[in-house]
Amino acid sequence: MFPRILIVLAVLFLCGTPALAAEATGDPILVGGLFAQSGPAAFVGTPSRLVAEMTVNKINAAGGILGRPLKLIIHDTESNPDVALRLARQLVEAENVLAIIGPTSTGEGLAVKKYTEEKKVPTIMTVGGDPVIAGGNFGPFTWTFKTPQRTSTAVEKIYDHLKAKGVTSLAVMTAKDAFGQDGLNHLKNLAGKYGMEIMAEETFDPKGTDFSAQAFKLATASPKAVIIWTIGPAGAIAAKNFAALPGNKPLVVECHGQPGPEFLQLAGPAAEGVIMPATKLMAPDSLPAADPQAAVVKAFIADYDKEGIQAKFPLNTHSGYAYDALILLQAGLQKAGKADPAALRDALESLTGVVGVSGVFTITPEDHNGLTTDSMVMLEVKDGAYAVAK
Amino acid sequence: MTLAITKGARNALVFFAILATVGFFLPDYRLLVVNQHLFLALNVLALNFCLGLGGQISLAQGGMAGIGAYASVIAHSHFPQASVIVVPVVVLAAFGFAAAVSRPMERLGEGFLAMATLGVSLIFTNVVLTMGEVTGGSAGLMVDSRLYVPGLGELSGDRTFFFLFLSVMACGCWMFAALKDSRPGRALLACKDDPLAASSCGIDRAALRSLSFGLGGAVSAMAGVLHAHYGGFINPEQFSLELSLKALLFLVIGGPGNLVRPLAAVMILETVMSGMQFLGEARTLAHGLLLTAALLAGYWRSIRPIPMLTIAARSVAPGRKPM
Repeated sequence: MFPRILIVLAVLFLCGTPALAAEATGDPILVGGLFAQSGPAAFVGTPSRLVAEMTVNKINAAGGILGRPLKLIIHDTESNPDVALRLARQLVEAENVLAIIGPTSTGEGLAVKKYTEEKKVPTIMTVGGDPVIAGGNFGPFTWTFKTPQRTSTAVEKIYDHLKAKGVTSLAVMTAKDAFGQDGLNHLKNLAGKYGMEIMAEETFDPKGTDFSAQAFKLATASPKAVIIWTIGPAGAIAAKNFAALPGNKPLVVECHGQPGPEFLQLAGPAAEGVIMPATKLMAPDSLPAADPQAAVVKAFIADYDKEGIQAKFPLNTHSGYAYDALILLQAGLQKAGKADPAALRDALESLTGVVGVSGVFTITPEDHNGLTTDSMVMLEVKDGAYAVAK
Repeated sequence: MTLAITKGARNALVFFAILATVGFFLPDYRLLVVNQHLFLALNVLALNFCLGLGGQISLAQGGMAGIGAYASVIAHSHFPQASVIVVPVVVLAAFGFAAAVSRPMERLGEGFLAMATLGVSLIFTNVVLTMGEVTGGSAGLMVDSRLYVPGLGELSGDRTFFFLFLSVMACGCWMFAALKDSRPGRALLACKDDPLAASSCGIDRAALRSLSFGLGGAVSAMAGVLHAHYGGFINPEQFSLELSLKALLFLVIGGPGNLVRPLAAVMILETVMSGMQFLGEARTLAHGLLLTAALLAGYWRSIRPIPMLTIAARSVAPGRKPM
């Protein structure tokens, strides 16, 4: 029986050694792309990947960056933080990328961040949640940037709008996940500043199929408006539950994760009158010609259509994040003048006025997102379509 | 009898030798995957104490691992270099907690026991979510502290943790084998076969099962401690019910009561499954088919033993009950 162990060991010796040698850094600038192309976040991750490929092709067709072509090495994170971390390490340690674009969900972002910060890899995330660039308990964010608006920016946009309409009594209904909790924290923290009174709050499981109980409880506090904070179908279900309530119904406000065709389809007639903050991507026709984003947004939508992505994944508020991440990367590299991680990071941190699809980015050492409430519009659902809320 | 013991020990040796060799030669970033699988394997081993020895179906493994992880991280944030004291205290506390919880649960019938352990996992998640001030809620906690051993310094790096996981697993395996061949172990197996007959022979079922359940809890908690300080980030999802269910699945595939086979099943099947990345959305289907095939293979072998396949670990006293 002993020789068998020896044979096994010998076999392992022969074939178990790693065959991955470091790739020679030739002409292309290597960038890693982490997108959740399967699992629960795939509805954002898969179109993001297509947009990223489209953008890279466009950049390369226009002569690349610093005279070198950009090469994106893409992996599927399966919406799983463990897998995201594995792939991030593979990108950095075996594939020698200069920077990383992605991942898609906040949980994945936090799992990857610890590592990229330690290894000093510039990472431009496309995650919704703020913790990745919040500092404090969530660690430093020296090398981490993100393109979607901060939760606090969306909350401020909502409060601005409600205040202008004279609505000050609120109820909030937030998902039990990281995204919902993040929303709840900011809704509570900023309420005082805008003179909002939160009369009642409830949480719900975003995988649930009915939230009538929560809706009823919140309605009994008779708030003027109710803010629902979740991504995915749960938002539409909640809107339906509120629409089914008897008597006076509060104004339903959804978060900035909802705008897209799915919400309209799922909520149906219940969507009527619902308001929500969104990127300008959702209201291209309402943009005045003077808006610096107008041209970029329209060009993006045209490309999105031309590449056939629109047919598979109809445009929603998340569609532009990967584009913005690559535009920031391009601007950063051009400013840095060389493909070096530290120089790229410093350049990214001092970018001003970079026009993207989600807004005009002005990044500072304190703010690694760089978007303000000006980058968003409030939408209202009218006759089954989105219109800018007055 | 002696022959059977050497056979089991030999299988365990082969298993650990292969793993250790793999660990020596893999590059660091590949080792991360192995370590993630080892964390699951430790939980399978933990469940083996409850189900394999005591015959109690437990869905509390995820919760127990989470308790270990959170307790250790929070304790380390107050006493940064006291790992030598913190870790044993956390593991002992987990043992005590699991043993204490198991006592009243033993009074429940079989189905109820599974539900009650399910409750442990769900309660853990909800406690973490509601105590956001301390636990970071659903956003999770960044782990800044490392395990510190006087003389060795701070423990970090993939290879260090690989061997930590491996040695904890070796310890667990030794405890499992030692317990199985001891008097309480025999009594536990008797309880598993026929609880009533066992108690009528004068076996204190509640005490015995709280021992096996407690050991399971302690091993899970230890796995959680290592996982937390290794990964550097914890959130309740990592210790959700999914972990408990996965542990149960792999234990059933490998055969409860068997020492090495469930662990080998985790390492092999999980490695194969994480290699299925290229399948995209079809991956879930492929995973399902693979796991079903593994389950059927286990069942088929148990009704028609084939000499070729039975080389793998055969327990001392199979004591297997049809699931």
